[in-house]
Amino acid sequence: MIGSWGLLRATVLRLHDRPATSAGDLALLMSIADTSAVTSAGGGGTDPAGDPRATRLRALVELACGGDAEAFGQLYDHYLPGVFRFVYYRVSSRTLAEDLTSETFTRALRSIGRYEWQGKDFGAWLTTIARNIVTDHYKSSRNRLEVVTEEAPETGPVQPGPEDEVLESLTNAVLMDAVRALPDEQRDCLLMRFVQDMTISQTAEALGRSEGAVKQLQLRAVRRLAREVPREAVT
Amino acid sequence: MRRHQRQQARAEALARALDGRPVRDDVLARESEELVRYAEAILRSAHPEPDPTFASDLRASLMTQAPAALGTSGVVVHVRPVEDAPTSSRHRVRTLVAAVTVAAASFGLVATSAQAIPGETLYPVKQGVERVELALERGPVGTGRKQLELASERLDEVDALATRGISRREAPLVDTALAEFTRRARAGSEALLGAYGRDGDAAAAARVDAFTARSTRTIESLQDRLPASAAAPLASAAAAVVGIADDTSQVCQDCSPTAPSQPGRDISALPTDPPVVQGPAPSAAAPSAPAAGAPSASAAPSAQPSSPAPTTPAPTPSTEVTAPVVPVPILPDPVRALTPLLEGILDPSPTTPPASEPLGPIPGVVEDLLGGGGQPTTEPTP
Repeated sequence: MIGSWGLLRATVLRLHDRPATSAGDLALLMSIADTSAVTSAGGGGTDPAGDPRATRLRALVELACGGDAEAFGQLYDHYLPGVFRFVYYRVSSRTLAEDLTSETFTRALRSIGRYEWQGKDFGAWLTTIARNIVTDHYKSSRNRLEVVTEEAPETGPVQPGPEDEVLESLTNAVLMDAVRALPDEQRDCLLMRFVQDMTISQTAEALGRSEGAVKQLQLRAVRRLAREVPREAVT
Repeated sequence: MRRHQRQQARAEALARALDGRPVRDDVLARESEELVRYAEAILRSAHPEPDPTFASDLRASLMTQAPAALGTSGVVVHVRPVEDAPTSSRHRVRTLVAAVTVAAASFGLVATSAQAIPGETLYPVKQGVERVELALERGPVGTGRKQLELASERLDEVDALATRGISRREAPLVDTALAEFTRRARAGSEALLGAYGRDGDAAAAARVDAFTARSTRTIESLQDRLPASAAAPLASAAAAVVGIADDTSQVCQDCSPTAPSQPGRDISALPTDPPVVQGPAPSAAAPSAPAAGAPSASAAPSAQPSSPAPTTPAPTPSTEVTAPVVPVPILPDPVRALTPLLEGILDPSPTTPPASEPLGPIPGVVEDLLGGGGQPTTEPTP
């Protein structure tokens, strides 16, 4: 969850314009970290060594590799939201995203025996599978347009309501459209970093690039986004 | 070189800012802070969560697959055998009985769910099983075949709902099932026709052909049995079938029609009345509109459009006497040869039938959807 923590910390620092070192700041960060925006990301954050959650995830992976079905089930619970969102923002169709997400986890289940020696972070490994499946889907079909037009992509609860909410939905849509329009690798980099909440290291593993390359990709992607999306849309 | 270093410094500064670590260079700090806003905005915008039902169904399906996939035997996956602790035969029997019972119960649940229709308790189980089955298929042919099977299943479910009677609360279920039919039909036919194009797999093309024929019949039978709200998804489904038939005819010109004439199936028996399934805007391309608006088709000799006659795919114009081929709005002749039922639906000679000639609502809807609307097209069929 380093990504979210970092973002939250940066946000708080910016809002309060002061160093976040005191116990009060930490409490504030903790309270924000409990919000659904962070806890639901669950894309594959692996906390530093020693973190109980990271330890638990590593133990689950080992158990699953050893044939423990329930351990795999718990990994599934942890990684499903992030994988689903990554796929969803690639295909813009909930039903198709569900199919491809199912395929991702089914393939992971069947090939988890090969996971260990690949030496990848489990979240990154899952994301690589998902990415390949989505790529195969587009390669093997010419239905890109059909898929894109099948459903209006969700960018939040678009319901009649207060004007602010409607405006927020619209700006979210503008932003996510711009993300989708990025070059493939930049787009996937942003989705992994900020939709799945993966670390630089995990993103590098999933993309098969070095960490330095991912930092460059991230920079290019966000700068491009900043050129395409009006500043008001993100404030 | 310096530019490269500067770029690296910027990338590093952004990475640090995103992690909440300080950036020493003021310029880079300001620049990064601005970019962090965009990252935050993406984080805020990433709303979609997997549907809880989908999540639980997929989990259940994965757990069903897990023992085999993970190489563990039986259903009792939590119980790790304690080595060097010989279990009594009674314990082994008890475990076996428990495993068999759970397996039988799971199997029974899955088997029973196969008959479920939307809205029923076991329907999510059925969907979960289908997803896993689809994921387990290998290769485009297997996947395509499965997609078409699932598409047909959705249509059958709508048919079952229509037969049973659809309450207002259930209307969205019909829309969802039809939308899934459309998507799977396209994906499956595309995979199978692709296999035919690559490998000459005639069976794959024949399967698509049979699928279009069967789907056409079902869609026709549904046209006057669905609530008005289903007009649009039904029209999309019909358009998808039309498109698939079109693709089939283009890719597989030698495919023999696998839709033999259906006894008792007569397009002319379609109701003349305005479509029961009326969409929100039925006016533009009402089924009767083409009759007045397509003078160019007046010479069309398709006096028996309803007859599912052509039994060979050869487009021999034996019955076609007059010269210029009727401008077909979208589909070429081979499509009509492909499935006689589609021929009825897509009859390109709107003026051919007399005013009293019945024409079902679906053709109107399809034409509307495809922009034909019975108007003479500007692209005459060569």
